[in-house]
Amino acid sequence: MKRVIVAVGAGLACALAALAQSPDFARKPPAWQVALAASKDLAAGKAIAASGKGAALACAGCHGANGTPADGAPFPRLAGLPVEYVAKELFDYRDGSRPNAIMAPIAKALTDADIASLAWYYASLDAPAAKAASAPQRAWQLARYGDNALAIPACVDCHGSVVSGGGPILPGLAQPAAYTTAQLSAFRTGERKNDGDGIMQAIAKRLSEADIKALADYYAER
Amino acid sequence: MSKTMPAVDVVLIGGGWTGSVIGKELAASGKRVVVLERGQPRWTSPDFQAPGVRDELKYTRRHELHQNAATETYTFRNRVDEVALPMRRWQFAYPGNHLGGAGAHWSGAYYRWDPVEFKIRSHYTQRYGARIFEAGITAQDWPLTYDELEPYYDRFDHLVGASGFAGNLNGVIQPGGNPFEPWRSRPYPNPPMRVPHAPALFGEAAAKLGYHPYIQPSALSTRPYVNSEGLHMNECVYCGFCSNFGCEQFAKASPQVCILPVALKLPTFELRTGAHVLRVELDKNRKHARGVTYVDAAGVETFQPAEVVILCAFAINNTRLLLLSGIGRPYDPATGKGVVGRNYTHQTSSSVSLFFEESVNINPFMGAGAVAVTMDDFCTDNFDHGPHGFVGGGYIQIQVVSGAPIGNRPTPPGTPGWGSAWKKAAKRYYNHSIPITITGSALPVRGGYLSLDPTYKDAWGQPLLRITYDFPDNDIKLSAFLTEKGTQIGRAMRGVTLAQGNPRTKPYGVAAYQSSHINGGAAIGADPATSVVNRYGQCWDVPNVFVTGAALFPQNSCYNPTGTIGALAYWTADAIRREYVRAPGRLIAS
Repeated sequence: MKRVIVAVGAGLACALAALAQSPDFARKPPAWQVALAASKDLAAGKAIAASGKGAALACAGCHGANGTPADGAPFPRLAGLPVEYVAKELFDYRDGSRPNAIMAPIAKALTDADIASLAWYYASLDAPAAKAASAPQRAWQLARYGDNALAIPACVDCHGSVVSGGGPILPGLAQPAAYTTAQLSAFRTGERKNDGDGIMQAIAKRLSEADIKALADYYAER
Repeated sequence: MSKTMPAVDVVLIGGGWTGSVIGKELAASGKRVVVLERGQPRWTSPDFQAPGVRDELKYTRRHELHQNAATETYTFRNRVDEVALPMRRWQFAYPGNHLGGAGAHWSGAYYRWDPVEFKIRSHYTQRYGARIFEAGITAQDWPLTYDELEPYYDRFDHLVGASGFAGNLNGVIQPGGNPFEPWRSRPYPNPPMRVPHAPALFGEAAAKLGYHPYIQPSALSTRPYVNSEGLHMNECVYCGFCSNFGCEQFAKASPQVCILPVALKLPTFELRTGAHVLRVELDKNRKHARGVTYVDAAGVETFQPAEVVILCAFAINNTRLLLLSGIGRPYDPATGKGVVGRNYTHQTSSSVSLFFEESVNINPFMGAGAVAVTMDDFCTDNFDHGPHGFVGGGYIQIQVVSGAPIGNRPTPPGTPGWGSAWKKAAKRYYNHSIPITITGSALPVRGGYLSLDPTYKDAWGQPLLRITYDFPDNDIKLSAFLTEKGTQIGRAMRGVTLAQGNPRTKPYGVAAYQSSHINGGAAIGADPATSVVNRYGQCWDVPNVFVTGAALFPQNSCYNPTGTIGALAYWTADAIRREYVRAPGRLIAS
């Protein structure tokens, strides 16, 4: 097998230029990022959170008055989550890439500006303080060191500290156990697949049921 | 005090890429294999996990994963009439140490070499005449071709989970890829990396000038991937801790991610860490190796008998092992006779410093060791060398490797090196500066070679390896040419206020980093008068000793070495498994 280009003469160089369409290297910002840049109305966000809007039920009904659900409730806390994460997830609920029977109709009733307002509002709230944890050793190992044999990196590598998180779309993992279990299970089955190229799906597939339970309990106690 | 271990079929010196690949292949074929790694065992979990691994001071400045220069280093001089002095601290290159070797702390830039690299002497002579080679250049053809190596490149691609967009599939140029890429039999197993802002600006300007920019191939997995050994790799998260670090994500291809977990499950495969090899032991007539002597983790001198010895240490450390063991005739630059130590090369690297308007945010910390937009228009013989009078080429790119706060303090020329003016400039430019990186090929010269130092010894009392080298004029001309081309692109980029080229100049020195690609000393070749090993990496003089890695390179390409080193490892493993075992102790017929 010979390579097609052996030498580059003038004619061949022209042919090459035509063949190799120059790729566009510029990154297009995702829609949620555009929405966040376009509006930042905390008061509007607070109003929707408290009273809902049209078909969108009030967020506070499940997620608590200050974005922190009641003890034992299976709903995630929203207070203090990264603004980018809340916005991205609401967009994903709305377009179905994160399927959820309760959240889909709510998100569909929200405009881009509503989502931005809610995201800015919840990001502005203080997250509940971390609790002292007494977690099983397996969860602590996964959270802090990962598992070499399963090629799983530590949760903290990306998600950072348990409350404030590790970056714009990398939330802190302190959440009710039922929520964490449901999300890891949804990643594992592929029902939830709004994780880029599937990074969380691949990791969740290698976790056992017992691992998921241990992690859920660990992060519920934080 | 010394002891002797039970005999094995194969002993491999070094637990990096080549030791892991060949060790696993031979163990799987039923041979009893022992890999001797001088460093400590290091695994992704727990050793490379955050936050501990994200420590520039520990890993980069204090060389956590590099050879310990306090116990073993190189000495250096430019010319034979100088006295070489030892390097007390690594600056020119970062030799690997510990499990995984340089394959654990590399950046992941992943290339194949161009077909021309393998026939450099004959190709350039045919196209430009013999006089294109400056007097004293000892560049020579390889005894194998790109086409022979392609299936082995392909195997290594699927071991490391290579990412990229094929530019040439089976000879057919693919729109959107690198039109200069050598042909490949299959697409990359994973898609190309995502492009940060600065490389995108570079690509835009290069395309406007008529060049062919593309996304650099890498050995950082860009999506969840199960490799050819059935091992999982995760998706790169662009944390910026690749070069000099172990990857926390199981995303950067490394022996401990891609192959060792499988090898260690084979009953025929054994790994011993803390095993520092002193020399290969030969029989009385010095034509056959009996095994190796090493100092074990407890400090006990130990003999490991073996039928086959394979040198898999870091790059030129293999050349030192040959010299310490008396294998092959040492090279003498006065007569040009002898072969071991001949054809030392490094990498003719240079840069263009770019400074931007404050509206352009580079975010240098959002990157990865191998994320770049690059171009091959001036690589190898992709352009007419006639008017320029030099051999070789180089790639030009912007890569976003890391914004590590100690090392990354760009300031414009003329800025004082300390005080309030420096602080002001450091703050102004931290997020508004990035270099264009230029990686040029390197030709060997008659006076450039590796030998044992007559004065300085390592912690085990053995002579250090001495590097005697200065650039040939050829490579200085090449660097001036490439750096000027890079500067033109920099000036055409949006937002750039200053583009300053920094071409490589003589003399060659060891006080500035020039890549860790140090090569040669055990050249591969067809003629025992000008090479140490045959086309399978087998020593001409001691046929049951094989050599691997960059020590084999008779000259250096502009392309990073690891892809070719991996392909050669599979090539050598196949030759041993299929051919050598039929007539052990004999040279494999070509």
